[in-house]
Amino acid sequence: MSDNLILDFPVLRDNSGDFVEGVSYEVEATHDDGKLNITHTLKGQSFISQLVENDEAKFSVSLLYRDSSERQHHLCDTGISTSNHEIVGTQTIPIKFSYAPEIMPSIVILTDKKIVADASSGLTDFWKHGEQFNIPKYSRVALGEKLKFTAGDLSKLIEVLNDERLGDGEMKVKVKEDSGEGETPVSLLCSTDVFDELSKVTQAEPSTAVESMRSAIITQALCAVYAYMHKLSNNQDFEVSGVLAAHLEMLESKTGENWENEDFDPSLAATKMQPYAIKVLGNGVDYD
Amino acid sequence: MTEYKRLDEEAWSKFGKKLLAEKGSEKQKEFLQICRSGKDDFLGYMDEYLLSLKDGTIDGEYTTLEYKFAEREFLYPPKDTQEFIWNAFKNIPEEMMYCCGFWGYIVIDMIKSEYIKPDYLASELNSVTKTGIYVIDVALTSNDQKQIDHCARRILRSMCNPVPRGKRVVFSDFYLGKAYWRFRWADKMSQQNIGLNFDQILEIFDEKYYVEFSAKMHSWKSYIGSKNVFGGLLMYLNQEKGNKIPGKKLGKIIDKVSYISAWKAIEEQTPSINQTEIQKISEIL
Repeated sequence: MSDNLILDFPVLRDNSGDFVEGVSYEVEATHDDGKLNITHTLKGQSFISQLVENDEAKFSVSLLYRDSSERQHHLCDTGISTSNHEIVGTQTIPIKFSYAPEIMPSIVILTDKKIVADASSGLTDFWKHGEQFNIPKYSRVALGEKLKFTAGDLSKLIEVLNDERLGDGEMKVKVKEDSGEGETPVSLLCSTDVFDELSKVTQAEPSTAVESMRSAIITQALCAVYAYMHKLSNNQDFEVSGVLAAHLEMLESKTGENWENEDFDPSLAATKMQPYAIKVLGNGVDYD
Repeated sequence: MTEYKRLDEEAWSKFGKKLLAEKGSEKQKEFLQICRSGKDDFLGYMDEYLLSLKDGTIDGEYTTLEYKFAEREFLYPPKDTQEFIWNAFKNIPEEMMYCCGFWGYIVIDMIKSEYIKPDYLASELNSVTKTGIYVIDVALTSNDQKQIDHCARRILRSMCNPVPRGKRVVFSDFYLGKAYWRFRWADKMSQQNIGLNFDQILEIFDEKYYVEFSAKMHSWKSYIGSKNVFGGLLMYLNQEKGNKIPGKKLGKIIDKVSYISAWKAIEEQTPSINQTEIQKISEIL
């Protein structure tokens, strides 16, 4: 799919420039108990909101199960509520496999439609009042951001490799900031002893000195990645891989740190992201 | 979901990564030699570096493929052998069938049962001479790091290890997986309202077209994983079967369909509308 389509009708998406401020389409998703819960929110008055209200356009999701490449599609037929220039649609979809799919949300028009731009169309000056445009049936008139549940996880970010040429305790970090779809952007090359230790790292917080040492190896690697990305983002414009972008989002939401900020401290951010200190003994015991 | 006895995905992946960490390493040479030496050495190696590890395998229901393969047949199973593979696994949940660890365990188990020999894993029998033994010997005597690495990678792909090509190895490179998924997709699509039965779809899915389909589908960029789109494509190919279009053109059609999906919800269109749309695309390509 291309992000750079030029169409002869307006499409609501981030930075498209077709719609005035206040008109937006956002989608949130959660999953539990083998079900996806999806909430579409269309804000502001526009020709799209009129079409949705008249059942001539619907919220839709296309799901991609990556492991088998199966795609499913679901129109949102129920759970629509409208209030104060805001239309909310909710969908509950059973998840077919044991992992959550990627979600590509959109608003799909269900019939061929001729639209005349006017004050209520929600369009910017790019579209002149009185201008007519035809929208073919099944066109996506709004595109939401692709949603993934695990995109920024460390397991997606870092690939740990054994490099027998390295001496005991050594490791090297290589960042490929423009890695493509399906590629892991960070390679952590380790000597065999470090590699063996990292194979025992678990998700749980460290509770022994050995677990703390293993966690600290990851913290050091993250620190190197963050320092690299910080330097890169300050010096030039560059394409960043989807996994790194997702990790930055996760970093910011979890720690409040952002490598694009001038005063970013890679060491502090890495320590917040991957703590390695053992919690104080007696943690959880009430001393009052 | 019922658990099946299989290799742990992470352990299986680490096994491959360690082996491919350095081109032409002593570890790679040792592995090639082990595959050449025969069943006992091979199983001893797999046991030491994978099966006996604490988290090397996942316990569950045992299943196997009870079929003795000839070397060439393992690489290029004919239709009746593919059918045997499909029948052996068709009742196992689909989710298990794209696990590299599931297939990896099946291959090791088949070697244990002498249904295949470990040297088959290195085979490149698209010519008469390149038996597995020959390929391993050439690699080991060449002293060429790339050739040794190439041979180690081929063996791993034949065992459905995900490291050389990612998880798509199940669908694209691994012989048993390819056979199974060709039948699985034919089964799925024959249940759609596209007027084509199982055998007709298998006929469309010949070796050449299947390779094109699976490469595009598992690149995740294509939209043919949607049944309405795939259905339309199969209907179009069935209509054109007297005038078989080249595989390269099929690839371009799939790319174009994916491009259209960016602005149009073709997944909502019926297969017959998609057939017409694909026909139009084909005419302008």
